Order: sequence, then structure tokens, then C-alpha cells
Amino acid sequence: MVGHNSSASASPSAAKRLPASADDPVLDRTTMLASVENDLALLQELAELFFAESPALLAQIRAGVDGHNAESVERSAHTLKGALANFGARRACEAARELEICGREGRLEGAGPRFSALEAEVGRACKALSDFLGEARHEDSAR
Amino acid sequence: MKILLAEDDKVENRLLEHYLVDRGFTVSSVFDAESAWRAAEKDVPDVILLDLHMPGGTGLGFLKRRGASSRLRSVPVIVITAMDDPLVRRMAEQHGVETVFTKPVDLFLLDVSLEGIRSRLTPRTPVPPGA
Repeated sequence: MVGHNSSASASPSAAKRLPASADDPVLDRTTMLASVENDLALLQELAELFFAESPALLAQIRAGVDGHNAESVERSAHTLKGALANFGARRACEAARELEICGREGRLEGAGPRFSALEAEVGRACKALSDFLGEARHEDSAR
Repeated sequence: MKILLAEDDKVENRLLEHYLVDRGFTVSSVFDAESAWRAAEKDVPDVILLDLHMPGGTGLGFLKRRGASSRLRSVPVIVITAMDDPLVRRMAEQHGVETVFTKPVDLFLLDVSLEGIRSRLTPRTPVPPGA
């Protein structure tokens, strides 16, 4: 994501460079906030973009899995992975990456459970993001 | 300096746009390769930031078309890709791109790259004799 220092990246590096584990938080809040330089209005805008885009991307992956369209699965999972990385959603990011690889390698047998896992992780990420923005607004209005 | 930003991930696109506009660049955003081509032909940018993995034709397809275009061949291209693959990097470099950044884009290095391009585009003021 965007930041203004020498280590800033357009996406949280940790989200893409290290394998995710079940112990990871749903969202890496520190990275997320640092990336937008605590600009909550920008974060809100990005979250709304993500909330609007992610259902269509999930639907495209689902359709690709059901229709054995490996290329579509790879492309949509790749795009979703990039969007998730912007919020430090490492577990969801990893789930999208796994489906992207399945698509790239044309291995869609067994992709159904992976899709279900991705869908669940994206749901958690959306909820965590929404909760975070709600808390931030509440704190802001309490000041 | 006019930048054409071609990135299909809307969140990533908006972030990069925000960052670049904040630095005084004029940014035109598109979300697929075909739109990138049409936008570049219509209004030749100073720099193209190109995601290699987009719908509507790949970024590599865009680079091949650019190589054959007398209008766009000389426009610097900075490639952004999520695929940290040496083969992809080599292919992009063979098409004469300025730099290849693997996502997440290091914004400091992006700044350096853009400033390098800007300094080439901006004619230097001649130093008066004896100055």
C-alpha cells in the first residue's frame, strides 16, 4: 500500500512474502495504517472498493472452478490476491494464491474446498476491515 | 509529467494513483490492457506504469504492440507484476522496459525511477559561460 518512506510499498510486503499461518491476524492493522499514513478517509475509500469488487471476483473464481476454466481461476484469484494484500489480509491472500497456482497449473480437481476456504477467509477479512473502520469512526467522533 | 497507470486491481490502482497525484504527477488510470492501449494512442503519456497481468490482453501483448508503434515505442514503461519470475522479468526487459517492479511496489524505488525519467524529459538549463 502507499506510504511515504523508503520502505513503503504499494502493498504490505509481509502479506505476500511470507507464508501465512493460522496464527496470523485476519488483517495486519499496523501495516495497513502505515501504508495509508493513517489516512482513514483513503482507507475507507479502498475498503469500499474492495467490498464492491470482491464478490464479483469470488463469483468469477467459483464459475471458473465449476466450469473447469483454469485460466479464469488463475486470473481472478491473482487479482483478488493483490487486493487482499493491500489490507495485509495474509490468510485470505494465501488462500487466493493457492487457487491461483491451481489455475496456472491447470489442476482444478479439489479446487472446490480451496474455494470454500478462500470464501471464508475473504468474509473474515471484510468483517475485520469493517469492524476496524467502525471502531476508528467511533474513536474519531468521541474526540 | 503524464502517467498512464494500467492496473486491473482497483484497490492497488487507487493507491498508486493517490500516491502519484500526491507527488504532482498527472495520472490517467485504466483497468485492462486494451483500454491501456487505446488511452496511450489517444494521448501519448510520458510514462506508462503497466501491470503485466490484466484482462483484455496481457501486459506482454501490450509491450509487443508498443514495440511496433512508432508513436509509443519511445515511451518509457515501468512494469509492475505480482509474478516474481525471472523469466517474466527477462521477457519484459527484452521489450525495453525501464524497470520491472515486483508487487508490492517499493515506492522509494518507484520515485527514483520516475525522477530519472523526469530528468531525461526535462531539458537542462544551459549554464551561462563563466557561471
